[in-house]
Amino acid sequence: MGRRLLCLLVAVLSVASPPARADAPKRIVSLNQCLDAILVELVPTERIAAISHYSRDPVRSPIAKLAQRLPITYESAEEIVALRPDLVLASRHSAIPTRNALRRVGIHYELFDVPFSVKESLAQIRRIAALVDSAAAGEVLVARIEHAIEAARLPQGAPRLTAAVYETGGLTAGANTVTDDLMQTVGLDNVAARYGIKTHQPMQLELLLATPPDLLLVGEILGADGTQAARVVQHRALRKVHSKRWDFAARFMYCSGPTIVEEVAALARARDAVYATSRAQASR
Amino acid sequence: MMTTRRWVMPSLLALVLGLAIASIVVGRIVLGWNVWLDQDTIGRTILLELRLPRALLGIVIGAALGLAGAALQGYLRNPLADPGTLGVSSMAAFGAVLSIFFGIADWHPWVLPLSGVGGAIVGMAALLLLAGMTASALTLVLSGVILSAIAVAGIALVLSLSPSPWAAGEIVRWLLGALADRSLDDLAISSPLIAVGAALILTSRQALDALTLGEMGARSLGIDLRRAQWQLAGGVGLVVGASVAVSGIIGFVGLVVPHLLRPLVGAKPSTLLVPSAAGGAALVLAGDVVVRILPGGSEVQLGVVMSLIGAPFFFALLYSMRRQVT
Repeated sequence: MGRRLLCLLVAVLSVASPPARADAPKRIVSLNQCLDAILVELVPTERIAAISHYSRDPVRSPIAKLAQRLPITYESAEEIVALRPDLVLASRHSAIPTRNALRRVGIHYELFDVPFSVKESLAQIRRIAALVDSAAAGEVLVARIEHAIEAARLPQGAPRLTAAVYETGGLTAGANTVTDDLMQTVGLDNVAARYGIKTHQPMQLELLLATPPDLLLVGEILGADGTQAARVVQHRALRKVHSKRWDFAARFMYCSGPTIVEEVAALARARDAVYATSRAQASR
Repeated sequence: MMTTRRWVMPSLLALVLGLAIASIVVGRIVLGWNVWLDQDTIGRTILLELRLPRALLGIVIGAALGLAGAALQGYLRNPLADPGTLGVSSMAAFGAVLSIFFGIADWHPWVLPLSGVGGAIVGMAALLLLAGMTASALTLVLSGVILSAIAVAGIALVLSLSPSPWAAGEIVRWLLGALADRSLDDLAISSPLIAVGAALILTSRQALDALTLGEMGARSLGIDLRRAQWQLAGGVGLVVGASVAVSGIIGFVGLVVPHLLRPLVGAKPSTLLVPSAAGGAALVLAGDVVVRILPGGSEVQLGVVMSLIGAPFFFALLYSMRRQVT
């Protein structure tokens, strides 16, 4: 009886994660940090011929440690050709001459847009999973992300808050960003989107001062103290704003995919911190 | 003096040849000498599809920039003129940037360079409209300033309208100027235009020499100044526009090379043209080898390295001119 159950279990498992097809790509090259982070979740490292050098950045890359062990390229056609890849994943904004060179040489590449919503990000994960023949692993990752989003959702009855992201250089996440999508779910109304800012653009400090949000998600300053970009975040005028300030990692802004798990949790923590502060003020 | 002159061209050509070989040898991937003997398809692909076009484009574009610089410095009788003076290069860059901005550069490898050439042609038409049929060098230069201003403003507008920081980064990276990963397609688009432009410039040698006597002097020698002006402006426009369309803006080559060669071949504009072309080719090839052997991960853009070499030279040039005046 027990043995039968075991057989059934094995059968179910083998259906759930079928072995890779014979023609599944085995020498995958990714040229983009965000695609790297998704790829390493979907395929064993043996099938990755190279990832982007940006993934080794200890501060901005979520997979910096793993990236130390993986081969990298600096996005030159020469390096890519020499790796004899059977699949190249590239961003739509990668260097055009390099892409043209790959096309001439007959190397198959797939272009990926920057996702502008959670939906697009999940679709991107599924597309990569299909390309690398790891559909099951793709579904597992998607489920993990969806679970994290559900866990961070605004509890019923809790008040919505206003919020804005303010990164170094005055950059904010406006409408049509994954961050904006997540803020909505978590119960934060994005001030930047209300002002008509789309994607990642700078937000005028004036707008922020005119309607200070309940929560200001301030970008961390990464060894850039004193630069113009950092100075914007440390502007005197910002000190006058009584918004609750909360650190918001810059890497959340630029890549979605697996980082959504961490990002949405950080947003929920920031929201809860505002609730805690207002409760403390009310009881005083 | 004559002995040095006789040696200049052969040694420049030898330099270009040596640097072209270096350009083919140097790269991130180390290729063995026996690439041909082994059935090494990857090595052969890298050699023929990546290194060879790059070396050839280095020669063609370097020569174009050197030639255009020498021609303009001769025509304007001003050592500070460079291929960008007429504004055609900025217009070419603007045209190419627009094709990236609207996403049509992805359609086909020819779209981006052809848009650059289109920008250059619009620029030359505007130049003709602005400077009219007058034979005044001053009007021509001022028209160039206007064109550059429009193109630069247009590029800045496109950058600020770009939908995301990544899209803007893509444009900026292209603008900085490089030969990395260019292909034989790029060579096929640019070299015919550069050849026609160079022919236009080289056939106006007589007018250039006559102009050293001033516009009045040239006219009294029977030179048709209007014709010479448009032949030169057209030639420079074609040569520079086609280069920029392929490589982005590589500054200072056209400015520096004629100055380096003037002491060797003399200041006569017509004798300076061909050596400047060879010198430009050598300089661009050398720069392109340097960006590939510099330590560090990503390649530094060629345009950046050229400006790093060119700007201090410009400074020294101004400094020595100031001493001459006082």
